Amino acid sequence: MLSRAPLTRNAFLSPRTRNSVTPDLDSEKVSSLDVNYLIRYPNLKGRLTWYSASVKDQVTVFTFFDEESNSLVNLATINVDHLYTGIELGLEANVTSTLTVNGALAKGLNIFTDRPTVTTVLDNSDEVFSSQQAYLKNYRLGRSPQTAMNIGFTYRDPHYWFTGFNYSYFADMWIEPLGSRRTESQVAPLLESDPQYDALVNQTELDPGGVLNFFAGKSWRLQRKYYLLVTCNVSNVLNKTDFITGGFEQGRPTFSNVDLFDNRYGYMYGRNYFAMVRLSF
Amino acid sequence: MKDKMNSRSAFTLGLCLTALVVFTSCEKEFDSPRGLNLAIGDTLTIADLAQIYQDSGTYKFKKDFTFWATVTADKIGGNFYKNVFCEDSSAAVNMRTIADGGLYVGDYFRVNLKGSTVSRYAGLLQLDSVDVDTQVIIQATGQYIEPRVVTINELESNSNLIGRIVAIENLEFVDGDIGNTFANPDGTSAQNRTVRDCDGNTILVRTSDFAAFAGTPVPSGNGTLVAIASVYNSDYQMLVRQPRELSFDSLRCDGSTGEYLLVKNFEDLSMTSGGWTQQVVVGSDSWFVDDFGGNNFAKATNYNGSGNDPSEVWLISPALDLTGTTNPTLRFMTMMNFAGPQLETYVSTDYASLNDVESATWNLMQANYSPGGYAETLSGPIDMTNFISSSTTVAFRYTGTGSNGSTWEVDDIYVFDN
Repeated sequence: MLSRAPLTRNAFLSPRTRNSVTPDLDSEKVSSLDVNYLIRYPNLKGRLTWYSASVKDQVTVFTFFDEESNSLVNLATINVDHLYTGIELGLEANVTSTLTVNGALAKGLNIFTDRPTVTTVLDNSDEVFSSQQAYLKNYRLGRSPQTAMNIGFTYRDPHYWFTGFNYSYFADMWIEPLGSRRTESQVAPLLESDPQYDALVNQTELDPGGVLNFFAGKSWRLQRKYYLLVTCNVSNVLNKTDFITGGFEQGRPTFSNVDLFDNRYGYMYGRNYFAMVRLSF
Repeated sequence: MKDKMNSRSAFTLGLCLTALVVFTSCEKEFDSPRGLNLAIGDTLTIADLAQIYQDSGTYKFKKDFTFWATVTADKIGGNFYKNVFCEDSSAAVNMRTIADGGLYVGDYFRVNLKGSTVSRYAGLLQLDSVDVDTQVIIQATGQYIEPRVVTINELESNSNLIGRIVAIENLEFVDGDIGNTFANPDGTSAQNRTVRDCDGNTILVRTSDFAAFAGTPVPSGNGTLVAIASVYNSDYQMLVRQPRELSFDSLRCDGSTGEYLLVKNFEDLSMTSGGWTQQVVVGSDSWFVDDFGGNNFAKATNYNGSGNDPSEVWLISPALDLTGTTNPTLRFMTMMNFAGPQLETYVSTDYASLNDVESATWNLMQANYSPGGYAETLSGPIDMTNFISSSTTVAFRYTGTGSNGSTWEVDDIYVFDN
């Protein structure tokens, strides 16, 4: 068990304007456990890991303009409990003396394990506007894909050049849920059959997708003492730009205007080229 | 050795896959805050609303009752202000909202009745004081309700149809309303027009003077009327959503086309479109297009900024072929201000061939002119039966003297076979 102090920007509600400390501030507690199984053969290497980590009493502060109170508000979320658990598998096999195949698989479950408390404080007056429980238990965390796979092939020629590609696939990607949308007061006027209820409460899962990368290189030995290495990488060879890699929810929607402020998304970069020349001496 | 390795690898892979299956099966259900909890009996139909009014009179809801309905008439078109009509399978209700807009035709919604009042106004079932922002939860859009095809008799004998969107076939505006607009544009009150079927049954078409089509002449043919069926005490009234929903393009019951022979409303900002001309006899003033409150009209004045100039100027229609008509009728609007000579309206059957105001034979017509103060006045209908020819001309003569002169405005000039 590890105790960690909150970051300054989460310990103060609005450090730009005043010295107010986030209500019920506490340090966060981290505990973790992992079990590894390693395999090592001349032509096969691998590793299987099971891990579980819990973070309790995390604090976050988020500032935005709130239609309901018609003011800039600081949204402090305290008692945020997370669980990160899953397995990871990595394998690398030398199929021939020149061809290597590697694969990796990660399957995680990163979730909220309790209902945090969301407190809305008006930025101008430091007045607590509301403080209530957010129904976030078992919601998925955002930030990173919770399922990822990778497969790659590398060819190393005896004449000092190499080439290969790898393909990565991501799934189980979620938009991080915002506590202020999932309180009892927010859905109080709604029946659970109303479409606005689902729109406020349901978590957005992003479409899975993959990316193909290519790389190649060659090295030369010059005058028996210098080494010249040229490598190039092409990432996202298929120029897949409609792949959403992440995003966030906005705090502003209320039951009567759910569609007014939609989620914001980030997309994968298109095809990218990278080349490098290195001289060692 | 190699065999052993392969079996170990297989074991490892198997272990991984088992772990995966075990792991993914422990998906957990999302938390969810509890929404509104409605008891059985808190869900109403519009027919239940009518029953509540019948049982207890005007009734204000104090708890979370709700009903689901679809909007059939909205603010688009301007004939409905701060109110919408909506219906479910049981009945229809006129819902009066605190603010205008927010609900549109085809919206399927749920309304929380807490704080609203059910009543009847002159026979029409109403739900009053609805705040669309907080009480209305839209479930879906684009759920358009097909108008029910009914007859005037069915409408008047079935109160369940009141408030609904209906279609009545084979209707036409009565002879006396041909040439009238739906309401007076910029007027002061809504207007009733009368439509009839070919059996002689009549029903009113009532239009707000704030409707975007208030200044549109009523269609003169025969066809289907799509409108909200409403009631005002003993009068049944049809409330038109959009004039394009009146497909009155068939022959009238008497077999005539009912076509307008002349339409001039100056909304194209042109004095000459359609073949209109002017002739200045005295002075240099002429008719010009002016506007007030979004309505355009022809205007003439002899005021030069400090005094009056002697003037005589004629606004002359294109030649009309009235042969084949039985009862050609002229109708126009006038607005006037300031003291001065009277505007005069003439009809001629020989101007078109002579093309000269002073030598043509002009017949002075008696009309009901604006009394002053720019009062909007319907000048007509004027019977033109005595002037049926293949080239009949209508003209307006403006005159002013060196010492005084009125400002005259003319608009919405129609000739039609009545």
